[in-house]
Amino acid sequence: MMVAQAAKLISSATSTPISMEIMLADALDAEPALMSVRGVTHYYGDRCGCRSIDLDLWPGEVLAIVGESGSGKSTLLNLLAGRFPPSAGTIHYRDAEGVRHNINCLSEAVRRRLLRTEWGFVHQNPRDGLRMRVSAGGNIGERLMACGNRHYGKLRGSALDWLSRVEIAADRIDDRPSAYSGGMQQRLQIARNLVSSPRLVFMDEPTGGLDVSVQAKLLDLLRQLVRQLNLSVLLVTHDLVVARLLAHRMIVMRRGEIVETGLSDQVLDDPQHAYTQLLVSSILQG
Amino acid sequence: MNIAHISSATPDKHVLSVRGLSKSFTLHTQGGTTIEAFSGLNVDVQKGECLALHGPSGSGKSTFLRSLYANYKPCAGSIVVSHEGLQVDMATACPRTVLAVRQYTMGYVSQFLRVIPRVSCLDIVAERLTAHGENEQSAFEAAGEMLARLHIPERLWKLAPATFSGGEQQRINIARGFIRRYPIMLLDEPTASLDAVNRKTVVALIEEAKAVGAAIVGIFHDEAVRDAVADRVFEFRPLGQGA
Repeated sequence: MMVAQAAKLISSATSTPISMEIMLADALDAEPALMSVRGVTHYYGDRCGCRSIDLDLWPGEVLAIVGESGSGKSTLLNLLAGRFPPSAGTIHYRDAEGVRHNINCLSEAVRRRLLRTEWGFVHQNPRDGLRMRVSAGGNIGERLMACGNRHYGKLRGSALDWLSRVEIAADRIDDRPSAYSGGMQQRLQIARNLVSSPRLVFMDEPTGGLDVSVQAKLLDLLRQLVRQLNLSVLLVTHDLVVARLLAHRMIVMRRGEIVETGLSDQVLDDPQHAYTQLLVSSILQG
Repeated sequence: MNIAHISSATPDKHVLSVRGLSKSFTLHTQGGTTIEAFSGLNVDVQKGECLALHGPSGSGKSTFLRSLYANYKPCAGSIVVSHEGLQVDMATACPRTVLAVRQYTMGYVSQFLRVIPRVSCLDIVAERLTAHGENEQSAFEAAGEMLARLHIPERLWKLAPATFSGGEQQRINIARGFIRRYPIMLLDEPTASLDAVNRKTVVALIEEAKAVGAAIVGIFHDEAVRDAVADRVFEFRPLGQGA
């Protein structure tokens, strides 16, 4: 977030009594976005999944997409992750070499490289993101092998390192995920995704199926990893408290459209749109 | 370590200039009722100065403080702060700029501690330093010193603050707010639930921050604290009773 140093200067355009000579800083063009989405629309038959979505994601930024079930947030996440093409609109991604790709026009080779080395996808249900018949160590090592690592000792070393980073005991390395609790499975899925040092991770309700005590621990872990690895994250959640604790910015969706966007704490503490106000006023007070 | 930030600011001695600031809330879920918090406020704060916001409960002091931090979105007006030698309007800056200002320039001690459950108070306080690249060991040492200064016994440092008393949580919040020296500090009743000894510590922390050039805007209900730290008082009156 070193944006300010390189910040672009723009003249004051406010209608306030401040002298017009004052230069106001903003960071709009300080560094290129990692992902830029313009006019993305998706229809399932004639039913609208999402409509006219514009958004930008910057390096190191956690962006939460919130809304009720059926609001189109998972559709949007899957579109952005290139899992199926939108009916209209464009999604651009800037890779580690600074090359800009339209993710719906990728060659198969580039697509595979991005999926294996630059992106991760954490599913709500760990069973969708893990291979349940392969050991925990194998689940982590497999991802590294896909990136071209073949040295068994190094693979096992990385697997052990990542198990400890997600607080799974080293002696569980040879167990299958099916022998793990739900919270451990989710942490293993996160390790499997992060071992290859991705730049962008898509997360679909990562704390959704967990009981609250496990959820708190996982939130803390995710926050630390995001910071240490300077990850960008697109996080879908219906839980506004999770969004507040993890995300820098948030997008509120209703019926496939964005109704409000801004700083997480501002959207939650001073919601402007009627729908956001309804969502926020429905949060249970503990 | 941030003294450099302060001295390299613009020649203009005001580090915070508020012009024509207005805020009202429209409650769409309650029949579109509009509540006006304040309107047309102008105020400047300079380096090393402490401005106390004063007025009855409900007169908009906290709303004003939250607007300065861009936690609330003002309806009109500007909040220009000196940030890394640049002037930033918090009322209109994009979210990433606001986050940069909060990271380097503007600290905020809220009335309530809001943290991830099960994270220890030592981690909560040290995180403010590690987030700026300070190594863990020195961050933990500094955090420990600050907690000790605020009389949080060492046996509590490794515990999460959820079960702590209101006063203890408040002190964790203060420790977190003061562990870094921000050029601008916003304080929302930092001494509300503290005993006399800890109130004195907070007064000392505020004095130290002022001495190295921090501009402070605060709400202090405790008259003795206000008299001790405030250089100027800005009066809030409930709207409808004359501004």
